[in-house]
Amino acid sequence: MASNIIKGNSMWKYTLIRLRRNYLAVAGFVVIALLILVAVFAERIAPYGYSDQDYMMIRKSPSAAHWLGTDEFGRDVLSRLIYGSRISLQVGFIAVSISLVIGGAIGAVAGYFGGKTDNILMRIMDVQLAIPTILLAIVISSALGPGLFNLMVAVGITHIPNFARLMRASVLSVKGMEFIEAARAMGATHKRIILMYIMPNSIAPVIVQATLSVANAILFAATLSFLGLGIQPPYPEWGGMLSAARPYLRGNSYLSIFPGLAIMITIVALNCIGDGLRDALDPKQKR
Amino acid sequence: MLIPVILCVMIVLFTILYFTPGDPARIALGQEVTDEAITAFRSARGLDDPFVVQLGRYIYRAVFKADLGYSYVMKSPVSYELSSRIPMTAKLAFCAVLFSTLVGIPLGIICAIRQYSILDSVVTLVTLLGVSMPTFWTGLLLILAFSVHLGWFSSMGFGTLNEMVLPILTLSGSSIAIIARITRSSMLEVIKSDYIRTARAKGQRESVVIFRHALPNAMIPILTIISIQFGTLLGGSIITEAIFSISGVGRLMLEAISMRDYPIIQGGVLFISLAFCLINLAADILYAFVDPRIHVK
Amino acid sequence: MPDLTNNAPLLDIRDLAVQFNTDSGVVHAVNGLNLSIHRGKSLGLVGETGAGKTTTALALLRLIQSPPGEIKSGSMFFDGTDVLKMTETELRSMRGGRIAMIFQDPMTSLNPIMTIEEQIVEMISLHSGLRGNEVTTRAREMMTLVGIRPERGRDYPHQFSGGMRQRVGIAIALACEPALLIADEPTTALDVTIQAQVVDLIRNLQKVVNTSLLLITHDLGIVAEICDDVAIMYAGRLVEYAPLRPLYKRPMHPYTQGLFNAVPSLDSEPGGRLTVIQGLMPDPTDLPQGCGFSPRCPAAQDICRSVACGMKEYEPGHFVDCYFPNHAWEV
Repeated sequence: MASNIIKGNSMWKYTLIRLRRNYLAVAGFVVIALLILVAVFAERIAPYGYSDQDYMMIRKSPSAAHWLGTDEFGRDVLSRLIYGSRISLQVGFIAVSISLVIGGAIGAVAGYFGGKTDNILMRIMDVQLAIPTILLAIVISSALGPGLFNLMVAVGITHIPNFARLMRASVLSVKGMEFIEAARAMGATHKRIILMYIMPNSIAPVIVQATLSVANAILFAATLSFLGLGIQPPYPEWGGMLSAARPYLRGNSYLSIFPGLAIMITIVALNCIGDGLRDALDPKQKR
Repeated sequence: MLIPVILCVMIVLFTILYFTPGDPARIALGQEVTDEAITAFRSARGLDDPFVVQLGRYIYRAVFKADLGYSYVMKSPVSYELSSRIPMTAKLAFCAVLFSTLVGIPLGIICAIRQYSILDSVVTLVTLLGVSMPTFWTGLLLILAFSVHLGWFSSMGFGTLNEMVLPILTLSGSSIAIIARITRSSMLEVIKSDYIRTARAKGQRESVVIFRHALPNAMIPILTIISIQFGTLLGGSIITEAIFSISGVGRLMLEAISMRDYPIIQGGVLFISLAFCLINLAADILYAFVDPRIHVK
Repeated sequence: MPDLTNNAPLLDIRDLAVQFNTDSGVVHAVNGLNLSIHRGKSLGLVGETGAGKTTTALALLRLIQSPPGEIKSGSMFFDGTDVLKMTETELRSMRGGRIAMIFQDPMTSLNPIMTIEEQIVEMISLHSGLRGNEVTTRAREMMTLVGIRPERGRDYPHQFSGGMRQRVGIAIALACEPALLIADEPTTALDVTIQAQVVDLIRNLQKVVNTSLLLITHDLGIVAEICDDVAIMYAGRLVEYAPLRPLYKRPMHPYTQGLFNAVPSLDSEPGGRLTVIQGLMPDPTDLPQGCGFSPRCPAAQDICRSVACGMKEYEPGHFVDCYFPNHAWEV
């Protein structure tokens, strides 16, 4: 990454130009933008409430009245998916913000100060990485109990090491550069150097990692809910909906298909954005 | 490195679960019990000792006596419960890693050699879907297609070959995609390098250039991702075991979570972490075989 | 370029054009290049970074990555056969066997995970027809020849210094006694003291193995030490071609003159300033009309900016692509 450092605005402009040429990434942005709109205006868009039960309409296949059918309580699947987007997006973005802030801080401090501080912080991260992430998320969320906030915390904690390592690596690569020496020579404080000089130059890989982590966080949230650990019924979490649909896999397979599609489309879109950003930000892959 | 990391994992797990609400005595004896019985149980099990003492005892027994505690719910030692389930999970994870490696690496190589071809685009798209599908949904779809509709494969258990197909496909789906992607990008990176140009300038056959010069040099990131995938697969086996009713460590842990059977959870996570660390260690040793510049510490 | 002698040249490149189709436009790396090398002779191909020297060499070996690279037109007769019309099998036996190449950066051009003996052996077993122990023996001979103790054959490239690695590169390139050796800036990545050793080594081995040499460099000093003829390249084509002495004595093309003026010599006045060529190489995606050097040329007239001159023989054997050669260089 060293060569595209300090170009400031031109780097972002160039990135944007290259990103716009990547149709998958553009499509990803469109999908996520639409999804955010859906989540914000869920009440207006959804044809029914997420917990409106209609006992005359239990497990009915897709029809004009219920485009994606109804579930075992006669609730409209489409409406539940629409409300569910709120949970997934919230968990995705907030959990990643948690890990970004904590992990970024750990990584920046470790990389900047080096030595013992670095050693201790990174060994802690090693311990966390020794536990497979989904397993750690399961343990933490079973300890914290169900609920949206706990889910975010559980998913957020598990993603801390990614950001810590990334931030540390980019701090280390920037740290030796001459403009940092210059800032130090001019008497800038540690805090100022980290915030004003190192952070902005480490931002590109962090953005890529954050995008891909949001995708992963949404997957984790769905998985935890599928296992009955995240969001509890009647709240319409996509993974939870799949879990509830399992007994009806043979008779009412649409119940298992649509929530999964919703998850997959969201993740695909986020991955496309992440990959596109990575390619656009990576000067090595100019072609 | 391995031993301190595992000790720390123990401490972290013990701490998390120690401070989790819920009295082990209540869980063991049920709600319909007198306070005297609870008190007796707690003192007999040393549950009233200070945190540090309990932690020390747990680690001492685990390290020196291979005793991971006692499951109050199952009424049997954790190590016994685990060891009866480990073979199943090990078999599942190993098969999945093997399968995803055998499929993922060749796919990645083909894409790298034929960059920008239609095949490359198709594989890239499929791997994109592969990393984006939740494991449990992949499993449900596979059951729906191959078990419910076509009736080819069983959707329960992991004993016969027929039963093994769907769980392995489910578990290895995203790993295949990830390994293929890494292989592709690592190969592309290596193929651009000067020494590949040197090999071509020697007049070497393209197949030899790819398999003798490029692939071994591209192996380090691929090995890394495979060893990381091992962890992901061990974690993912929880979901796969749940979907296909396979009685492995994962399913044991899920049951333990729903019953708040903390010793089992601790033991299960510890076992999986240990296995994961050993795999990483093996990968570190393999690095040195692949690349003479790396020395085993 | 017309024949300078009666016998046909070993290598005769005519009208070669190579381009790279990139996102930011078509890069015209080589544009209508003519070049020939005679048997046993050594030619120095001199030019700035980006003039198309390495591209020419890689095009000759047909090692231009495609996409994005593409050989647009021209012919390259090597020993009577057009390289552009060779089959893949013919190309493979030519690469390494008849034409071998020493690369610029010895740090990256050796395979890091093969021992150096394996890498020399690979070349020998591909082209020499030797088998079994003979191959190893030959590899050890080559190591001795370039000054590496054969015991070190089991070591890996990272255990060698840059200069030693370049010796390995030379051993690989010369192992099968190629008819033509291409040395692409063989000393640029090395320390100055090592540079001299490597230059001597190449010069001596060229005589021992009796190969022709195409030396690609931007260093006029090294050319003077090794080469018989000199070709000056600018923006994808030759601007001047002459035997060593006449060219060094009397460079005619304004660009060549500029190059010489930019190098300090013993005659330079102490404290005097070196002359620099104003401006930059033209953007290869957008080459100027007419002579490629005209935007920077102090002697340029209107005609230079509309039609390029083409090579003219101003003195016997001294070709210059300029309407107004010998123009006094003024700052």
